Amino acid sequence: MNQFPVYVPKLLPAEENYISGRRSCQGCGKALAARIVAKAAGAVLPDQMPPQASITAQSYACDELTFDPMLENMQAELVRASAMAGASCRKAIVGIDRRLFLSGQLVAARMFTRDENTLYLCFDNEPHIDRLISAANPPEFKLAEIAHPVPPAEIKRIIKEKNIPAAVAEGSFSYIATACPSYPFDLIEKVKKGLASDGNAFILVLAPCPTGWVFNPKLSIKAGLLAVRTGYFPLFEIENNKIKITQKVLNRKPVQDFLKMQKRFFPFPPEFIPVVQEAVNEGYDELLQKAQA
Amino acid sequence: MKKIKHDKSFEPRLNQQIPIVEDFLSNEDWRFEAPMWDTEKCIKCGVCYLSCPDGAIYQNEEGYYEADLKYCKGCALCSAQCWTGCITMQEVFKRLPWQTR
Repeated sequence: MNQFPVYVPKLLPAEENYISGRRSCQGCGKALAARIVAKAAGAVLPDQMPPQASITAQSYACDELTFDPMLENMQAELVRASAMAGASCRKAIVGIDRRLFLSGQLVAARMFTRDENTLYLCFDNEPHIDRLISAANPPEFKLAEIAHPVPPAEIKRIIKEKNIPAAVAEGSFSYIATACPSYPFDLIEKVKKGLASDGNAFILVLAPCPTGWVFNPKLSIKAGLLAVRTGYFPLFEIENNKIKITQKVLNRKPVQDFLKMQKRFFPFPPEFIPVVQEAVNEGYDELLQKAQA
Repeated sequence: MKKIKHDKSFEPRLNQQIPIVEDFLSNEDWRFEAPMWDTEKCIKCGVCYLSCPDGAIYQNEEGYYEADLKYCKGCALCSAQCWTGCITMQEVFKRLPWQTR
């Protein structure tokens, strides 16, 4: 059976730069994405490299800790690391969590406007929707009788904002892309392109979280597939100011398939689903127009 | 297996330490089910190997795949992604009545 070139042992390197024995949850999408990126990164980092310059993926439980003081010093650390490593270090990879863009906007903006040669990976398990969920759900038992329904314009703004955070658009990047670990070969190609580009690069990686999104852990790869096939999370890349869609979706599935799978959306009223469908359609059509222009 | 060393020169600069695991023993306590491969149906495609978030699946001498029970957490992603359905999850620890998932 090894004669066929379609199979995984023929296509990917066998070395594992990923360290097992983690405290991530069962079926963690972030850990799976970090493993696939470690396969694409190739050569092993030298021993003198400090841990901040390698891929660190913290799991859901550890997100309560803030590492902002670390990130303020990160640029100085990276300069020091590349000076220590010398010619053997082509490019440094930095993994950050999406939660940084919610609270530490200044830190992120300051980090991105410097001219360094790094690849930034943002693992996204959608923390910005937590606010929407807590604001729109009916309040606790007998504490208040008033529910605060969120207006549809606000829902649309939140869902359209998810794709590329605003801080990234202001910085100077030569390569921007989105990816998903349910499409592993696509992710590997994008990491390789990001490593080969001159200057900074940014990749947003979707990480389906069974703890936060509340579903059975064996469905985490399927959640990523549904997110792409419904148009909720389109896969594209921007290079030389040209947008190219890497995974074409011809017949989009209804967003209902993706929303009904997760228990975090169950308490919403039935008027919520058409609003999300409109937001997704508008966002995808805008992207198609920009790609053709 | 590489051991991660905690570099002490960064301690005065960080307000909090990064939680780096240095004394990991085994993941046996997390598991309710363990995967078993049926070698008559396995086509050695490697999709289960790619879809394990812990990196616990490896290829043994004959070419068939196997799970390293020191790292497997029993998430059942490999059996959900298998093309031929040769992976079945066998119960290793009994679920008590209040433990739904």
